[in-house]
Amino acid sequence: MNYSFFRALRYAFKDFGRNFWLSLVTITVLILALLSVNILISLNALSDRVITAVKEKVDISVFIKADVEQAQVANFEAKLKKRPEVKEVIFVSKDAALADFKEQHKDDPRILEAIKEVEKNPLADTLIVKAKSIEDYKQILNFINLEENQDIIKYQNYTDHEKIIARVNDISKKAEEVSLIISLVFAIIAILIIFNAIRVSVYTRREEVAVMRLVGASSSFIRLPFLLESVIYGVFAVIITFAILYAAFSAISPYLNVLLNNYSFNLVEYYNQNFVMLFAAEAGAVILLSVLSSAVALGRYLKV
Amino acid sequence: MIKFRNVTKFYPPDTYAVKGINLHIKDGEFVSIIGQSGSGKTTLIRLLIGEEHVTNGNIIVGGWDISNIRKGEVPILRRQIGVIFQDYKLLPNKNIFENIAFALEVCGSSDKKIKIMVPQILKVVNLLGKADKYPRQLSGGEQQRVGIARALIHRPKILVADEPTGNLDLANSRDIIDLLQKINQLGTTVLLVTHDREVVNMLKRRVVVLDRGEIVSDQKIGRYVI
Repeated sequence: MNYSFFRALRYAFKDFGRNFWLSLVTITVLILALLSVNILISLNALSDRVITAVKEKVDISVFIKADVEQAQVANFEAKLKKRPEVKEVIFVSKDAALADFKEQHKDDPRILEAIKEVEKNPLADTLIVKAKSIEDYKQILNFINLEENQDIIKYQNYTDHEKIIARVNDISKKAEEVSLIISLVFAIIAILIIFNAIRVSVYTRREEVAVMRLVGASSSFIRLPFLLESVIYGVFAVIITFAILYAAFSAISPYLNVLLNNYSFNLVEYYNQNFVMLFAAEAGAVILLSVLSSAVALGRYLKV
Repeated sequence: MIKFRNVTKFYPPDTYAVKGINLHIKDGEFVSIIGQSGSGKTTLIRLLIGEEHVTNGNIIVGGWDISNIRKGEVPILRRQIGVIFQDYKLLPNKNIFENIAFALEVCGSSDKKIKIMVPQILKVVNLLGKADKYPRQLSGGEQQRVGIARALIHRPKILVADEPTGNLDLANSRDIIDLLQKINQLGTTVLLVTHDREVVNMLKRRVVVLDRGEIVSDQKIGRYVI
């Protein structure tokens, strides 16, 4: 068995070299198909990251009236925390808010001057409420807006990111659709070209195959080199594709970082984290595709 | 060794390639099968090596009924029957050693076994000095000897020679026939298909004559009579 397998592998490599240009074209098309699939994967990861980041930024700021007692605020905070849809409530005292504000505008003397002039702290104590999921904000808002709570609330501010999320979703969906279609087109071309490559291999090796049959080689041994040849196409294509991807990601990631400065997203890291899964899935899919395509070609053109 | 029992091969719509063939070839015999083209000689060979199936009748090789041999069993049969052809069927891009080794390689023999067996068989066909030559560098007779060496590498009980001298001049033909006789003397049953008058008359062995798919003559010490 071992002898047979290594010999079949040797014949497969030999044949790969014999039809070198055809092998090259076959691998190129496989690479194009894989690249477009990976663009699809990257877009998906990217839009997921952006949407998560946008969602993380969503919160409700509840500003507390100036004359409300600490106990009342604590009571309200506790009530909020009890609600199942609330993830966390952060209390920011007006002094902390002012310090924060001053820090933010330390380079702007006019604002600092203006604050000094006001003398009293113009800011309010604030409760920042985050929901477990974006859909929960409506319920939390309903609770905050209840009549009984209005004694302590000056006003609330809910930044609505729904539109941004919808837009990111929309763009990424369209991009995914386009790359899905391109991937499918390349996959179909890849299937056809592998089929053709194996057909040509059967033709170039017809004398050898005839002799093999004559001297009593089993039909599985005769077929094996052809199948291995298509596996070689797949393996080369996946390895080269990942090399191209890493090179491309390294090249574009500085630009991507500028574009996504708030989202701290790195494609190289993403691929590193999911390398085993992505590589195995893509190699598996490509090899399966190659072997199926060449098996059909063998069934048609190799009579053993 | 080989028994054809009432063997018929029919190609629709109306062609009988062979019809009612009854032939018994004993172990160690040397039999020539002669006949004009289209007489059914090649069909008989194709049936014998499992390339085709009989329409009717039975073919028994060494006690094994191969009349309806399954696809997966054909390789087993092929390793028991060596075959040589008029056009040698050597691989042009392999040298002589590799051509013979190829027959062992594809059947899963170990490298060690190949290294031992190939020189042995090259010695039998007297080509030991030309192991690293390519087929195009050899004469027709030498190429046919390589074909014979390859056919014998599995130590088959039967050697089928399909017009082995068809492309050779008289001297080379003699060489090949001498070699076949030598192989026969070593115990291999030889089935020679030919329409070479000189060869048959030289042999003075059993001759079976086919005509339009039927046996018309079977003589112990035959001559070329058609």
